[in-house]
Amino acid sequence: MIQINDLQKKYKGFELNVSLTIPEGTVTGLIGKNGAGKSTTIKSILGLVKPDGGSIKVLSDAPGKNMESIGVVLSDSGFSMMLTIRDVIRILRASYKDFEEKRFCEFCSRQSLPMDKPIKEFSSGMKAKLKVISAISHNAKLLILDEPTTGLDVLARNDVLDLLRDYMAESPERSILISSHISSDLEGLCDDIYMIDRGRIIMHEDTDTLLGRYGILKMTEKEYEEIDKQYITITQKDRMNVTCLTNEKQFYLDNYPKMVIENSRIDDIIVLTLGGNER
Amino acid sequence: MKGFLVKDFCMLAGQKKLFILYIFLMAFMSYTMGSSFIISYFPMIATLLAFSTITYDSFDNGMAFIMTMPGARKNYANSKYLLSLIMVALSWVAALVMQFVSMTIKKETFDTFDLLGQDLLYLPIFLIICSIIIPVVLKFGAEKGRIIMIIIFGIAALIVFAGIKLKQSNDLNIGFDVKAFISSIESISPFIIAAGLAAVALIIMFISMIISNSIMHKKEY
Repeated sequence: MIQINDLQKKYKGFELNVSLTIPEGTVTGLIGKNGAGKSTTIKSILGLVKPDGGSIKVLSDAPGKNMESIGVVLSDSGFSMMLTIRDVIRILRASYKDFEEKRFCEFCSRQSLPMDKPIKEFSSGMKAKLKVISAISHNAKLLILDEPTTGLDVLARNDVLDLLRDYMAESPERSILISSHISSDLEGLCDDIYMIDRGRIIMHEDTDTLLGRYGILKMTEKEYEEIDKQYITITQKDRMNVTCLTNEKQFYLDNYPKMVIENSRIDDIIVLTLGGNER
Repeated sequence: MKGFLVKDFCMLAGQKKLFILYIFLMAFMSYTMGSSFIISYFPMIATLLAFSTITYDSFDNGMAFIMTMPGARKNYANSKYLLSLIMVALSWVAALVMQFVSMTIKKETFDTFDLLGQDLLYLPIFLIICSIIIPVVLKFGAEKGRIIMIIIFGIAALIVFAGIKLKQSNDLNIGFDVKAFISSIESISPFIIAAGLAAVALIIMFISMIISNSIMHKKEY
């Protein structure tokens, strides 16, 4: 669906250099801090910014082509705030051959979105839902979502994620690329996760591996000196303790039964990866 | 293209109150002011409204999303030309109708053929104005576009003013016979002048569209 090889984009004080692949039928998450390069990567895929180097193929074509088949949510941009949902329907009907008006209206009424109110009077949750509903209502093969859940409360976030799960369940050929800095959103949705920091991909794993095989080890400095460190990827030391990230939790469970070993969440992995020292 | 036009008309329709006010103003002015005034004034307001959609598009970083819609880079600029054409044409027809109605009510005598010929002259002029302003607004944004628009209208007003003054002056000597030149222009049928101007306007518009499309292709969001 998307193939990026060595994409480069330079701004003052920032350099992006990423490669990633989004296969058919998968949900891929792009996580990283604010300013890590998530939006620039997504804008390059959409043809909104021109890369300085590398190659991007989206649905076997150049970025910006085939937009009929791509549903887009941008965190900081959307339909004009002056418009109402009724206007949005007219625009989508005129823009997309496969716009499913009935479905769109059903989604809107299920999410209690008012048809005749200007979007500027919507809450941030309503705005976000409208963006996602618009993206999934024209039979897109690929969704590209830049921070679709930013600024939403837990309930609104769950609603948005449910919409995306339903979208994926409808056809095995669909794919989603979703960026977020709220990694808990991605745990239950993504098959594959890329972590980006300072313009570089620093980790790429499938979510099951990340949650099943990765673990957090907690120990004293003395214990740390004595353990086998071959499966430790990140170490973080404070005054009293040492916290490590391992990509082979089972090895330490088997060999160090007294050690405190916790299941890792993506947030823990981010904190350790971006805040710790590589071994 | 259709999607962009629908979006623009939805945004303009969102300002219904302004439109109603505009129509009342047109009716009032066509009755009280000179009839030639409204035929130039109302298409000007209509072009301003058309340009305002570019400003609305860029509010809240809206252009980034617009550029993800199908065929956006190819069609966005063209849709603005089409919108301007539609707005100028509609307002011109409306102004023309009001002009005829008000002159009939006021029982003014006029030659329909002559009046139509004179009014037709305004159409290519507005096409030229749109052709100059659209690429400027696309490239530099609405603020600078507005300043340039004021300058263009200012220059146009100066030319008209200078033309009137030249016509009035009897002893002006600038190397050629101004009076003869003006009267030779006046002797040409306004339909021929309008046709000539229309040809010039279409060429300018075509060049302007090439420039605007190239601006849209290069722009980053």
